[in-house]
Formats: sequence, C-alpha cells, structure tokens
Amino acid sequence: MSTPRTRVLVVGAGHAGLEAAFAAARVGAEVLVVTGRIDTVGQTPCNPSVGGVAKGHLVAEIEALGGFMGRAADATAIHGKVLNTRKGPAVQATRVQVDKARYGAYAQAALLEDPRIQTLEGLVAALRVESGRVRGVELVDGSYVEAEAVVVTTGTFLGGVLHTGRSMVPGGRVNEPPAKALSLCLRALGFDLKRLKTGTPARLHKDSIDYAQLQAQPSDDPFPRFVLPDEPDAPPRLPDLPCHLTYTNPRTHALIQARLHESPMYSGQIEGVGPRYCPSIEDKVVRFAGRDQHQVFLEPEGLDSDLVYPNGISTSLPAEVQIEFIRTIAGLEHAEMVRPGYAVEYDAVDARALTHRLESKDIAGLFFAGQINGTSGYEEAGAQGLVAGANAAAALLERPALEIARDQGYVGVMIDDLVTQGCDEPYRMFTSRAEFRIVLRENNADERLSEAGFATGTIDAARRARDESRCARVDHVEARMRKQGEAAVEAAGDVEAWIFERARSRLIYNGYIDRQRAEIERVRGEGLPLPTDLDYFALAGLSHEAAERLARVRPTSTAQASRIPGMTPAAVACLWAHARNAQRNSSEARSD
Amino acid sequence: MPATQPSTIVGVATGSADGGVAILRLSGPRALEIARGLVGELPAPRRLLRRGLALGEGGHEDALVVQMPGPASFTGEDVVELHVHGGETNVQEIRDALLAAGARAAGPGDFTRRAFENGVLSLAQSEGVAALIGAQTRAGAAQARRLIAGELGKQVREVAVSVAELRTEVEAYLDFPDDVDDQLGVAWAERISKLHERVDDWLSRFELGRRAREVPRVVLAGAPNAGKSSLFNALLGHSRAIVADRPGTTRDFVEARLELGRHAVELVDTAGLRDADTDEIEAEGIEFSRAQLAGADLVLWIRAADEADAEPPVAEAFGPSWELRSKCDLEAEQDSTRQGLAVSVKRPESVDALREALASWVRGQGRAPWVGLARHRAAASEAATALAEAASLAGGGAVELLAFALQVAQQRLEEIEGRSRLGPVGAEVLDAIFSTFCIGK
Repeated sequence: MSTPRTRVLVVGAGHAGLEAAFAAARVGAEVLVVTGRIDTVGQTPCNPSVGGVAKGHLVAEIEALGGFMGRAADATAIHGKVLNTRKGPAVQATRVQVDKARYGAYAQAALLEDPRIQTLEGLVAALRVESGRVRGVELVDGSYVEAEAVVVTTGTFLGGVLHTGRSMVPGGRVNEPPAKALSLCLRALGFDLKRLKTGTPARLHKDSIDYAQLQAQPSDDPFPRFVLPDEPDAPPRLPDLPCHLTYTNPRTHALIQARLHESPMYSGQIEGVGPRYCPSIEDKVVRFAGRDQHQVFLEPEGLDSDLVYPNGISTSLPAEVQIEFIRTIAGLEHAEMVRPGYAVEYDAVDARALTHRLESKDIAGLFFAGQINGTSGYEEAGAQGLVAGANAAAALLERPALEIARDQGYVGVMIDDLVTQGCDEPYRMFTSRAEFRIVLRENNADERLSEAGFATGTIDAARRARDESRCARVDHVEARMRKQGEAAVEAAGDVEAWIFERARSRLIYNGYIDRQRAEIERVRGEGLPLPTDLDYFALAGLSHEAAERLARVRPTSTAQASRIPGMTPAAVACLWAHARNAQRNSSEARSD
Repeated sequence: MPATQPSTIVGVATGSADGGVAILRLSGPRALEIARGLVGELPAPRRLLRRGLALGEGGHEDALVVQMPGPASFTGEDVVELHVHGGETNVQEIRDALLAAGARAAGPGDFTRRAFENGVLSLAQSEGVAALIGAQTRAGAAQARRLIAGELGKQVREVAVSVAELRTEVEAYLDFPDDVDDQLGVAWAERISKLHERVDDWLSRFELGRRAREVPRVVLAGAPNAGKSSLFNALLGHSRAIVADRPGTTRDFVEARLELGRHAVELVDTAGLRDADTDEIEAEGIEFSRAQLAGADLVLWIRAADEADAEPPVAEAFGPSWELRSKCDLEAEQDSTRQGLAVSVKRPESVDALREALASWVRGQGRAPWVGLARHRAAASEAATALAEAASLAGGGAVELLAFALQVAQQRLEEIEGRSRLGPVGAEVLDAIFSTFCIGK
C-alpha cells in the first residue's frame, strides 16, 4: 500500500497524541495520526478528571499555548473545584471531573474535523530509520507510511500487560491489544526501555451506592474554567453532579492485609515500578500501617453513565477480593462492581536520550511524548505532546523551536527533569519540582508562554494580540492597586474578579520574585553552554562515575549538568572551569 | 570537541626560598612523568629517598624525593615533592626545569583548590587550611585545626538536614491538598524557632572565635595624664611607652602584643583626649587616638582616681568599653560608689587582676568560640534571617512563601560547606576564597 507523503506522523491518539497532532497542525504541518482504534481516541481510562495541584498548572499552560485539553475539559466538565484555596494563589489549582464518554467524543470529533489532520486506523510495528533520520513507519499489516517526522505517543500500549489478580492479559487498555513489535524495534534502535506500571480501581454501579450515609461534595461557585473568560468560542458548560466522600476502615485494611499475597505486585508477578504518590490501596495499607482510614472519593463518570469511579482504592487484587473489601466501606455495603480494577505494566524509554524538544538525540525527526517518557497523568502527557508536535512541525517548517525554560512553565520543569534525570518511577508533576514556584501560576500562564507559542506558531496573531491586551489590563489594575490600595480598587467595583485576582497575585509576590530568581542564580552560578559532543571520559578531574552520568545525559549547559542526580560540586566546578576555558579560547580565536 | 586535561602544577610549598630546605610540590596527571624526567626512577609511594636531580648544562643537585599517587594525596591527584637546598637561585633553577618539562606555575591556593575540586576537602575545610597558615595565636591555630577536621561542616549539616526535612514536609503539604491540618503551622513554627536558636547561638559565639583568631585590639584611652602609658607598661611588664607626670606626653599611639596564655591582644596606648589648648603635634596625636578608638575591639577608658568624677572630655562613640580608675592608690578610701575597675601600677595585684580580666574576655568566660570564619558568619546570618522569616510565615496561609524562606535558609547553610542542592557555590565565591592563599598551598 502506498500512502501520500505525510509531514508529521503521530503514533497514538491519547492525550499526548492529540496535543501533538493539533500542535503540529497549528504550526502548519500536514499531520497523519495512526491509532489502533478511532473510537477510543482521547480516552480517560483511569480517573476521568483533569487538573489538580501542578497538573492544573500544566493544563493552563497547554491552553496558553493554544492546546486542546483545557477546552475539552471545560466542554465536558461535570464537577469542578479550586484546590489549595487556603494557600497562596501560586499553588491554587483547578481540578474538574469530566464526563468520560463526552470527553472521548469531543476529542474524536475535533480530530476528525481538523482539515489538516488525517487519521488512519492501524498498529505501528516498526520505525524506518536511514542515515540517522526517521523516514516513516511500518504497520503490522505490512504497509509502509512515509513521514518526515514521527511523534511516538504509545501510552501504556508499548509492551502492555494487564494484571487482575493472577490473570495476565497482553493489552494497553481493557480489550485493546498492545504494541509489542514496536517495543522490539525501539530496543533495536538503541533505546533503553524500562518497565513501569500504573493501575486503576474497580468501577461501581451508581445505583448500588447508599448516598444517604455519605458527605456530598458540590462543585465550586463560580465553576472553575481553564479557558479564559475573554477568549472567544469558550465551550458551553454541562450541568454538574456532586461527588461523595467516604472512608476505608480497619475492617477493610485487615481484609486486604490477609489477601495481600494474591496481589501481583506483592507476589512479584509485576516487575514494573509504580507511582509512589498514587499508590494502590494495597500499598497504602502496607505503607501507612498506622492509619485506620483513607479517603475515598466517589466520582461519577458522566451525566448519563451508570459508572462511579472510587478514587483512592486503585488495586490489582483478584476481582472477588476487590468486591469483598469494597463492601466493608460505608455507603458501599451493597455496591455492585461493574468492572474490576487492574494494573497495567508497560515499556517506557529513558528520556535522557531526548533533547529539550523531546527529539531523539541520535535519530533526527523522531519525537517521544507522554507515558512512553516515563510520566503518569493526562496533563503531563498532553503538555509533552504539545511540545513534541510543535517542535516536529517547527523543525520541518523552519520555525523557532518551542523550548520552555524552567522559569517559564511547569512544562519546562517537567521536560528538563525528564531529559536530565530520567525517572525510575512514573513521573508526576508537583509544585515542589518547580524552583520558580511563585512565578509559575495558573493565572499567568498566558503571560509566561504567549510569546514563545506565537514564535513557534502554536497560537495565531489574533490570540497573541488578545494575550497582550489582557496583560496590559492586568498591568493597569496592578498600577491602580499600588496607588489606591487593594481595598479601594475592589470597592470601586469596575474590575472583573478574575482580572482583580491576577493583579492581586502579582502584588502578593512582588518582592519575592526577584529574590527567588537571585537565589537560583546564586546557587547555579552562571550557566555556560556545553557542547553536546564533549568527551567526558577525557576530561580529567572528573570521576569515571560522573563522566558516565554526563555522557548519558549530554547536558547543554553547566546549569543543566548541575541538576543531574549524583553530580558532586567538584564535578560541576570542573565542568564549569572547562566551559569557561572553552569560551575564552573561542573569544580569543575570534579576536585573532 | 576534545576535552582539556587539567594541567600539572608546580609551586614552592615552603614559601620563602631562604630556608635551609625548600620543598617543590608537583600535582596533576603528569606529576610522576615530569618528576621522572628530572630524577629518573621515583621511590616507592610515600617513601622519601635521596635522588640526583639533573639540571641543564650538566648541573646536578641532590634532592629528597617522595611521590604520593592520587587519589590518596592532599590534592587528590598524583603529587611529587622535591626537598632541595634552599636559596632563591637554586630553587628558581629547579622550578624552571620543571616548567620546561611541562608543568605550569601554581597560582595562589591552587593546591588546596584542587583538593576541593577533587572532593578531598570541603570548602569550609579548605578555608581552615588558609586559617591555619595565617593563624596568629595558638588558640587561632587550634580553631583552624577544628575547621580542617570538619567540625563546622558537621554542625551545619545537622541543621541544614533538619531544614531540608521540614521543607520537604511543607512542600508535600502544597502538593497534597487533602491532608489539611490546622495544627501543622504551629508545630512548624516551633521547629523553625529551635533551628533558628541554634544558628543564633553560633552567631553569638562568632566574636569569641574572631577574638581568638585575629588578636583583638585593646585601646587605652582617656584624658591627658590619666596614667594610660603607665598602665600600658605595667600590663606588658616592661617599659614600652614614655611616661611623664605631664599631660600630653604621648603624642603618637604605641602598640605592643600582650600574650595571655594561648591567646593574645594587641594593646594600644593613645594620646590623651582633650579639646582645648593643644599644639599642632598633640592635635594630630588626638586624631590618631580617635582613629584607634574607632577600630578598637575593646576600649579601656581610664580616669585618674584623683580627678573627681571627670567626664570624658570628648564624647566619643565606640564599641564595647570598660571604665578603669587608675592611680587608685591615691584614693583616700575605697569608694564603692564610684564606677569601674580600680587599678594602680603601684599595686601589682590590681594589674594582674586587669590582665586576668582581659584574658577571660578573650577566652569568652567559658563559652566555646564558634569555629566559623567571616564568610561562614555571613551565610549563617542570612540563614538566621530566613529562618526568622519562615517562623513568622509558618502560622499563616502563605505556605509557598514559607517553603521559599526555608529554601533560602537551607541554601545558605549548604553554602558554608560549599555545596547546595542545586549545584556548587558560585565561581566568584571560590575565586575569592582561594585567592587569599599563598602560592604553593
């Protein structure tokens, strides 16, 4: 089979794949999306929720860069809250529950309607690489598709295995086959793959829950949104449903403890490493043995869905044990389990083989985004997809690359962490990973990223103009607050609440922002550029161990080198001295 | 791009080349090779043996040679030492031969800097090496040795680790909004205050350490003819200043080292201070006195007991001072209503008592001095400020700012040892520290 030449080919249509495709299209490339099943694009196979602390920041950044996730979440949200409201504005974050079916449908429609994106159902078996450049992909049916750039977003499908109790089924999601051949191909191309795992709880039937015993958790008023109020075409809102809160108890814990040996994680059947911060209920019972209860949020999966997602009891115990322990929980005494929870194990690449554009250092035109890079979460995947897709297109169209610095966005922090440190467990975004935390607010994502997005082409001139005028309005209100005081401006009542909040956030952190920056410069020293072909083993003064770590990451600056785990001050000082000498030599050469 | 090898450096480790023996020290990847070129086969590691040293034009010099292969050497690199006859010309000739063989002349502190860069010494330990070389008193040398042994690092690390743990908890609280606990802020504030107290305690004992290290200046001042010079001589135990029973005898300031056991002070005698009727020379002397007062670590303000309660003739602003009544033998009765220590050169026991009081002031009345140096104090002081800020933020809602204040405190503490979570201290700090060394160290 011969297909027309495609510029950017995206493998997968999950959250990373969708953002990659839309971003590449916005930048101006022709895009082909190859996905196993068109009817499952944009799935939220785990918790149908978008945002949360640090994750909400990522969604705001995706939205500021013209991405998809914030709009899709706004269009399909059925429950919404702002978290951390008792703390400062920098760490407040939006989290919404979405209608699972409608989110998928919204994604599918958007993908099929985009005139610059073609979609092909199929499984990729191999990448074709010639003279250090990706040329296209081979599908399992034997056909070949040419491409100038390929973005791989395989999620949990790469070598995926599903575990429920002792049963093991190859798959990326329930009833969907894994991508096995591609795993072998990546190994053959020299990528280091490692096993990671993640899990999802059982789903309950909504009518089997006794809500009378439970605490209702209504949405916030006003309902939080990711798309800014002054943006045109903001999607309309769905009606909202309450969530409910209940707790596990000592009986639940005793039961799980007694059946622990039947969990594949504890029997050794799963070798992959799971996320520490989203632990399974088995993990929680073992690790926090002193606690006699854990929160369980009961979250509806949609307006007309019968399914309820019990958030907090992710598990891979056998189905009969699952229903037994679930029924020990208040309100769930008669719960009916529609589908048991399961764990999925999959292959991820070592992201240290990638540049900050998420492109392979060795194979030009080959990009990776999402869970394949070791992250966990839709938001993390989406943000990477956007960067990978935008850069794949920008490179072909000779537009400026989209490289977000650590002080510009959480997406920059995440990518720098991944390509500098790799990860041994699924990587989740946290505010504690961001040293410029007070600068990186949900409510200033557009101010931070608009310029970069416009330069690469992920947002158009009209959007850029709106961002600039919005920023000017905030500047104006901020100046008024400085002059008249916050209370007077509030009392005047002529400023919209969200603009007022933005200006207020700036004033709160005024004075801290410069201090934070000075603090970081101080410890990092001057960041000097390092050549990526530097022979670290020939650099005396560096231990062999430090040279190995550096050779693996090949940092582009002394600042990045200093963030590689295990780098000693001496090793960084040695690199710094080398970089300074190199800089001096080259400036002398120029002046000769 | 090829990497640059670090050079092999050579320096004279014994400072001035005038002594009987001079030691030339080579350090770096080519140290063994360069030394072999001059002396032939090297002795086995860490054995000092006599070798002939071939110089240009058939010249020949005897040397004792020792090699210390890295990483178990002072610098962490291969080191060779050549013990040769002293004398400027001889040492110069050997040094030139080593330079010609490919070594590079060491700059100030280069050897210690390599020890730091190779992870053999922490920054604070490197500073201890400089402090030991520059120590002026036995107490100062003892402190420097404690610094080299890593005592400061251990103290600071303990507090830095506690701050880091607290910061991790605070940040986890930002990232996991479900775990809300109103009591947390109060508990945090208490823990921060305890850490703050420890840092404040170091700071309060810094002055003691500095006094022991730097030989504090103790300035005798007072009205003309108050008996300053007599007391000065009596404290020293010999005549150093000219004494006459006439106001304005001392025209210049006179200084002398007063040894006080393991400690010492620089005792300074000054011209008497008065405003009226002074000739030009005496006026200049008074100007000198004022300058001395401004730079004093302690002022002994002396008033003759027979001058009934005379106020200081010039109102001066200066640091800590003691009031002394001199010539107390002239007092009719011991008058307990009058202020200050009584002293008379005619009563040796009163001079001994003053000397003992000075010794106890330098030693710090039983409080142990903090071994930190000025740079460490600056960093600790900023850490203390940040901890105070953190303590005040701990009860409120701005948890992200609390995390920031703790981050600053942690970084300042880590900078004392020369490391931090995000990388080394800046290159400027390193340059400033190592440039205070002499060549060959």
